[in-house]
Amino acid sequence: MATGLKCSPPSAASQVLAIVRKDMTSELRSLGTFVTMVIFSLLTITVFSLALGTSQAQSEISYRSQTVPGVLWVAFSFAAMLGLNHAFSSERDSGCIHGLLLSPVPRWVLYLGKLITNLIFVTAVELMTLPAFAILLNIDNFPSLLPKLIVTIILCTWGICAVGTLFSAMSTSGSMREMMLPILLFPVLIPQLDAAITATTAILTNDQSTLLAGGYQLMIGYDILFTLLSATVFRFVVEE
Amino acid sequence: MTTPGSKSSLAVTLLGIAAAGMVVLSLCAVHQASIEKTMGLVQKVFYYHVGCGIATVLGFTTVMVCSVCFLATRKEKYDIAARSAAGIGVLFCTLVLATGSIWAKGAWDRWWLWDEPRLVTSLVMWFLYLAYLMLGMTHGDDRARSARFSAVYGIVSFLIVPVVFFSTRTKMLAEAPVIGGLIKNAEGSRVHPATIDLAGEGMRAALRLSMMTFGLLFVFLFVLRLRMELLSARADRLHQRLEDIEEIALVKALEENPL
Repeated sequence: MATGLKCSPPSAASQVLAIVRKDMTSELRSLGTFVTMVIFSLLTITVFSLALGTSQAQSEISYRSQTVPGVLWVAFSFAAMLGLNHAFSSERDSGCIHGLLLSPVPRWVLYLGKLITNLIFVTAVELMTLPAFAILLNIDNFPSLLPKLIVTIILCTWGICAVGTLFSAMSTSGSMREMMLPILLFPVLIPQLDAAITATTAILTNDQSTLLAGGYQLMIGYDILFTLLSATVFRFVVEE
Repeated sequence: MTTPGSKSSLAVTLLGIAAAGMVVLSLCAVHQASIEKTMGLVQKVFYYHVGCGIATVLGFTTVMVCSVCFLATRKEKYDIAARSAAGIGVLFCTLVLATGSIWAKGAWDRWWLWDEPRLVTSLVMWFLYLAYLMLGMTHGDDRARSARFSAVYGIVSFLIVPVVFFSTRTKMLAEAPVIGGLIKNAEGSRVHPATIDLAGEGMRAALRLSMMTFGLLFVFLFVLRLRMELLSARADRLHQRLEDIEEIALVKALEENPL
């Protein structure tokens, strides 16, 4: 037993990275969820564009600033819901969750690992949908808006995943399984989505002060608050 | 566990009588209060609206406190208390939305306004606690797990309560649409009617009395519900024990008299 193996535990950062690497590997081997999310968000945009107006109305500035951000974030949040549902259900189905829980890492490290994986995947889906969205909804000077849109997407998705990772661990068991996540998650996400829509509207109408005060500040506050809170209570969710 | 005996039954009955008395008193006070000038008779729904709001906040605060206690101590009674409070909180929250909508129709000539933070945040709160109740129902067999998840959700959801409380006017809308019959402040922007002063005779008294009434009503309903749920949990345990005893008796009987 005591053969003098030097095994100081790895740092928290490398533990988180190990979990992220494991998740990325398994996700990249079967791109099913990823492709489904992309197609789903494209479909949502299409359905909403058809439902909301004619091509004539779509060229108007007011239509663009009022409708487009809403459509965008509905599509993104629906797609995120699909991905988040998958995050823990696949762990439970394969029994991998037991391995993760048995491994000697603190629960918040597990949470952060899962959060980062979800963040990477959902953001990737959103970034892939974004050009199609710009074409379908006739966004002019899209390349110049792109950096700000990407910042908005990352800030909002971080919040979605911070809460979503916690709740997806809760909704993968029980009688209703996947049905529960949207019901649990959407009410909590409403302030974040509201801030993201405000920010996107501000980007499209080039309103710098609203973008910072009504969008970015609120989202950063939400992100920090819910990451800390979720990391704290995560251990109560996964104790088996 | 203590048996809810005749003493506590008496206390609950007295509480119920007190609540009923308060309801009658506050009805009288609301009847007596003078009619508000700008809004007219419909303003009287305000007394019940605020009362229900107080009961809602009490309910959801109880959920949060009991959830924290449950996670700290893992005693079943806290879980049961949190669920009982949530059910009553949702009931009062529904009443807040309903009375608020009636009031909005009278004061703003609209049943609902989406750019009014108080309204939207209250609706979000209602959805949050509906989800809380749903979450409690979906893990039927696994009580321990269900209790843990509910407690976590009960704590996270509580973040909305202060937001609702302080949200009379966070966004000033420069281009607020002009609608006939709107309540406006000096700057001409629309305000939540609660900011209107209660100078009329008997208005403050009626408000205070109705707040106390709904507070008491909440306590009464909560105690009633809690007692019922505790008894139901006890009945479940007794039932389980009875089944165990019967099983043991059957095994013994089979050992003595093999077929």
